[in-house]
Amino acid sequence: MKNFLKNPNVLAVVQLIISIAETIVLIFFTSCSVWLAVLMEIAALMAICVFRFSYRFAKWNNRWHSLWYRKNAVREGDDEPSDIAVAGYKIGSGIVLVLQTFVLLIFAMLV
Amino acid sequence: MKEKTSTAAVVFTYAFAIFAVIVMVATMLLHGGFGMWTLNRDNWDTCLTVRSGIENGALNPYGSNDCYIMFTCDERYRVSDVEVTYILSNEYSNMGRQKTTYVGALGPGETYECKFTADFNFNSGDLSDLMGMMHISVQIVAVSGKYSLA
Repeated sequence: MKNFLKNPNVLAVVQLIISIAETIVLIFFTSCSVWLAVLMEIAALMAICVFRFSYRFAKWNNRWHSLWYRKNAVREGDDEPSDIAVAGYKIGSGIVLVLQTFVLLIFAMLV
Repeated sequence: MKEKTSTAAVVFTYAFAIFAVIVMVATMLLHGGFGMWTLNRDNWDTCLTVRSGIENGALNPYGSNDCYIMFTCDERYRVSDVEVTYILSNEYSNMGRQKTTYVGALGPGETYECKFTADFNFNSGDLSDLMGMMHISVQIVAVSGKYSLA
């Protein structure tokens, strides 16, 4: 059970369910514009993808950085991303996810 | 190296989920409870119909006319605490200013009628434009209130 809850796919599904539920609440229970709610849901979906695949994104980033900026491209295996590089993607996408909750909080207070 | 899930990502996800659930439940309770939704500029037409015009037989092209605007609630819904901000316009009259009307609560099929007087000035134009005078366009600017199934 503990390993199940730590599975990255399970984390992504939890985030997806929460973001969709937030969009429904924003549309039906607050005076938020439907377009704003849908726009934020699209942003949240992209953030969930980036959060889930942050390791791959960081690795791709290393490869592309090497291709564009180094005279001699890194060899296979040297493109392993650092923990900070992966965390950078997770923090960025996490902020977008939390932003949706804060927008909901603001509209909740506009009674 | 194999991809691994960091503890921070796990903690963030579940903390975010708990926080979001608390905010969602609080929002639903603050905004009228379950099964009751908030009206806004995008969704008001699901349960409200707006009609406007000039009272029959009272059309005076050169002076005051009794006009009306009617808000009717759909048979499938009931609304409460409704306030509508709108702009009424007609090119031959002094209308065009933004107005706010408190409609209040309406049951299924109920209508709220708001009467007002508009001064018309038909000094130019063809007489065939007289029909255009009968038409008043309503532009909804903002709607607030609650709605629920009847």
